Amino acid sequence: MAYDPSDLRLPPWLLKLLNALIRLRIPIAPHWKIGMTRAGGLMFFSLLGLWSAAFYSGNNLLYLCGGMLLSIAFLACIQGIQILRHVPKLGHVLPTVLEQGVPHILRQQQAIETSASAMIEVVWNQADIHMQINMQRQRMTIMAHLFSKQRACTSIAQQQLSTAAPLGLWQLEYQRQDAALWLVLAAPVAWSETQSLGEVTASQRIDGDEYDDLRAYVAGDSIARIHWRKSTLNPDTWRIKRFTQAQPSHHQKHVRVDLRLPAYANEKDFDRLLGMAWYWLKKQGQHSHEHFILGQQYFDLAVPTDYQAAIKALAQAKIESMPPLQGEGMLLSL
Amino acid sequence: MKATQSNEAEHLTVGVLMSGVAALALSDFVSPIYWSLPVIAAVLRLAYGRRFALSEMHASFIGWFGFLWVGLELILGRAWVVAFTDFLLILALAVTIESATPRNHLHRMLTGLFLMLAGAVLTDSVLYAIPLLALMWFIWRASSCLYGLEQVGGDLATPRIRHDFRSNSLMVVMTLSLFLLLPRFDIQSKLQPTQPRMATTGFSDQVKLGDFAHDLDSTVVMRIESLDTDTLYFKKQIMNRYWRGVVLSTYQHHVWKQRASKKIHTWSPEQDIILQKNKPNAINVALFREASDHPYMMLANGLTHIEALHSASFQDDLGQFHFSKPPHRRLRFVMQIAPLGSASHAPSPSDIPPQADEKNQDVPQVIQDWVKDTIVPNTPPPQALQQLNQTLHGWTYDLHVTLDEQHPLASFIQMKRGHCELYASTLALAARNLGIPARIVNGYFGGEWNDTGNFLIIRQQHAHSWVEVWLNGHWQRMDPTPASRWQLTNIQFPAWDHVWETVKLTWYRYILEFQNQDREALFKSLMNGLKIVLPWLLLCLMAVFVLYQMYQKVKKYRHTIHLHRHQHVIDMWLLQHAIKREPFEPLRCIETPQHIKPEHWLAWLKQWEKDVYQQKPLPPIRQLKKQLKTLDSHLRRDSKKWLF
Repeated sequence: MAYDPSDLRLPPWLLKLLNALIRLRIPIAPHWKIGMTRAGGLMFFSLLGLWSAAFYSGNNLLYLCGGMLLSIAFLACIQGIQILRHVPKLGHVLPTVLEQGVPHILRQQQAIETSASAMIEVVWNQADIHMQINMQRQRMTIMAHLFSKQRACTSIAQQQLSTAAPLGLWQLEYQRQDAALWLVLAAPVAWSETQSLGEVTASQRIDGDEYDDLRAYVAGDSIARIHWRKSTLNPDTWRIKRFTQAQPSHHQKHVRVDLRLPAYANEKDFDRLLGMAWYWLKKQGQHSHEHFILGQQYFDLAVPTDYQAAIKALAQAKIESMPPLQGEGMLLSL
Repeated sequence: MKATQSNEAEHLTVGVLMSGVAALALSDFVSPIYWSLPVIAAVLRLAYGRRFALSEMHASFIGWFGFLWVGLELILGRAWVVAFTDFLLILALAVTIESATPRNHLHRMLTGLFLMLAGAVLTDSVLYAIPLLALMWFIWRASSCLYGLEQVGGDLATPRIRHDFRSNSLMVVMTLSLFLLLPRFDIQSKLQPTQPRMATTGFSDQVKLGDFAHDLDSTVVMRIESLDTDTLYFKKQIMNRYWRGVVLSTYQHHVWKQRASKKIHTWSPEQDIILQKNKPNAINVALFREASDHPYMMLANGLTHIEALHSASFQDDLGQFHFSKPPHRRLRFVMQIAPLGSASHAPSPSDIPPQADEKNQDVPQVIQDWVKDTIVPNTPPPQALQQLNQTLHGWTYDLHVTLDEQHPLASFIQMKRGHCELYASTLALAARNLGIPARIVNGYFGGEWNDTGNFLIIRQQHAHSWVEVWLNGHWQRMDPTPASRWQLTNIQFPAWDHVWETVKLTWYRYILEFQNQDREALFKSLMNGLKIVLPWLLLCLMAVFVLYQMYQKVKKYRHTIHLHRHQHVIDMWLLQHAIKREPFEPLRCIETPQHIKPEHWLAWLKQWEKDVYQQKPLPPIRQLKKQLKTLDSHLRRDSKKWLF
């Protein structure tokens, strides 16, 4: 927004007043609210002054000018409403699974019918998800930086869209239903039978330099596997190359996770345990023939719905007091 | 900020500013020197881009200079309105050449808007509609462009101009609807008159013989329209009327002057002026008076009633109607006039006997001699006066006659040609010589009928002088000017002029003078019109609906027929490739034809499905056959490759 009245060096008290005014949201219809931007505030006061002068003087040219400005303001509001109504449902663009503490950058383009230019803020209040939609010339770019510190499994539906388009005068808010499942799992913790935390030790030799994909760095990973071009100095941004050859061979077909929390462990340890479970589950992928026991729940990963249910269960796993169900396979516990 | 977006914002905000300058430039109070300054600066700015720019501080110096300059102008006695407009335009100059920043964009938009509002107060020209429309579009587009700058992910592209047409048309409709629907409050009379104009034209109280011709141009003085419906009757009634203005009674050294007069009746604002009560068949007219610097109201002979005026007025013993304070704005009077031929007289208290000035028999010798030579001796004065009037009617009308400045009447009598002022002066002085009190009246006569808008225009060139003589206890009008006077015109493109004058009157009537009662009248006429039109409108709508449905069905049928033909061609081609397709079987479900590569077949299939399902008509059969041949040629090419 490049025409902010604060640029006019208004006195601080006036800016404070303007800011208080732009925080106001007035309901105009069910699910719709309107507020004003700073430029809109300026427009509002201009209209107020202009119509006062017109009503008092009876000058018909002032009526015309006032009518012109009012119709600009009104049409901007109508077009803003139309823009928000034309935003397609966005639930499907959310990632199926987000990992705790791992940022997910979302950037997607879609063709749309409307030719308006607009920047739209999308918020799912239930999960604190923020998105931005850049809409121009019948194309829509969805951008989001998704990040969560907490594990979550939430059904989100209440979505709020807001925009100041097309003129930057009115801030329109639209509440609508856009259902999606917000799954945040514990960050995967790499582990192997040798109990090394890193996926591949430095001593393991890899042929060739074609990697399959990247994953977040975890303690124990070889420095040689870090994709330096896609990383910065901050270890949180480090990405580890994953090679086909690098996949450790796992002999353990089944995993049982003990969700009890011993006295010496804390919540972080519990999340770490779930991270290890998630790491294993992710590696098995869908349609594998393994079994997965999470506390009191049993999942046959060969059944697709069970795989999804296992992910959901991992996201909403809570500390239990009972030992895990009996069965074969490796036991993951604290 | 991308350079292109920023440049567009720059151009659009300059557009907002220039629309405001154009609106203010229409005002009489603005000097062309002042409005041309920001215009030249804008042209240079657009031509040289940001190279032609001053820093914000330097630009503010121009603003401060403007402030001081206007202060000086006020000290030197310049009118505050003029000084104010000068200041606004100097400010516009500073804002135009200020370096392009977000703040500068805001400065331009706010200044442009303010200039437009100042224009609304200081001008009433119909041309004001043009900058207003331009400003509407520029504000819309500039705001849209500025909104898109520096957004997350880069600048947003401004929507294409063709998309603005719909929104702008909608805005015009909304503006006019708001203009029509919003109430007018009756408190404007407490204010100074809105939309004042600089002094323009008008008769003065002192006229030197021979000066009359100087001001006779095509400037419009009044426009008169009927408030009743019968246009032909109105035209017949309103043409050839005398519009009485200034009365001059004293003649000294070739100069006519007004004698001292006294008020005989005053009217306060909002009070009706009633001259004759309950006059039957009176014509209701609306008179749009252009702004003028004289206080006289020009009123038609036969006037019976004037609806309440906004300012105080009075009538004097010469029968003149004055405003207490001359209004510097266009005015609309609503009045009633008695039909021609009915017993009505000039709107003066005509029975007030003549004063000494009107009886003065100190007549120039040349007139005395001419009277003596013209009339038959011992003719009674009234008949003698008629005889003189007839004589003058036989002379030649010449607006541009060259007179001897020292002896204008002598040269007029000698040449027997001149303009109405000379005719009127000669007859008035001759009447006095015969002992009949007389005076001359300056006003307008006739006018020009506008066929396009069905109204009467009175221009400066319709100014006229005639004589009033005291006969039989009344002041009676005598007009010695030959009729050839009214055949003169200097309008170059009369048809265009009529259209333009109609546009102006429409602007005055429906925009400037629009009031609550006009809205009621408009709605009433709309309702009446709708009652007549509604059945036809419904019928037309139904017809359109039926035709549209039929068109859609025909279109669908043609598409189906077309599709069948195409499918037949495809089926024949498939048969050649040993595939028999059932009519219900989609192409996608059949196996790939023999010897055709699956990727070629799929590519063609995709294209075919796209052609079938899009809204456009199918490609011609020729083209389809060509496509199928191309598939075959792929096959041949591939087999050749295999052979080699």
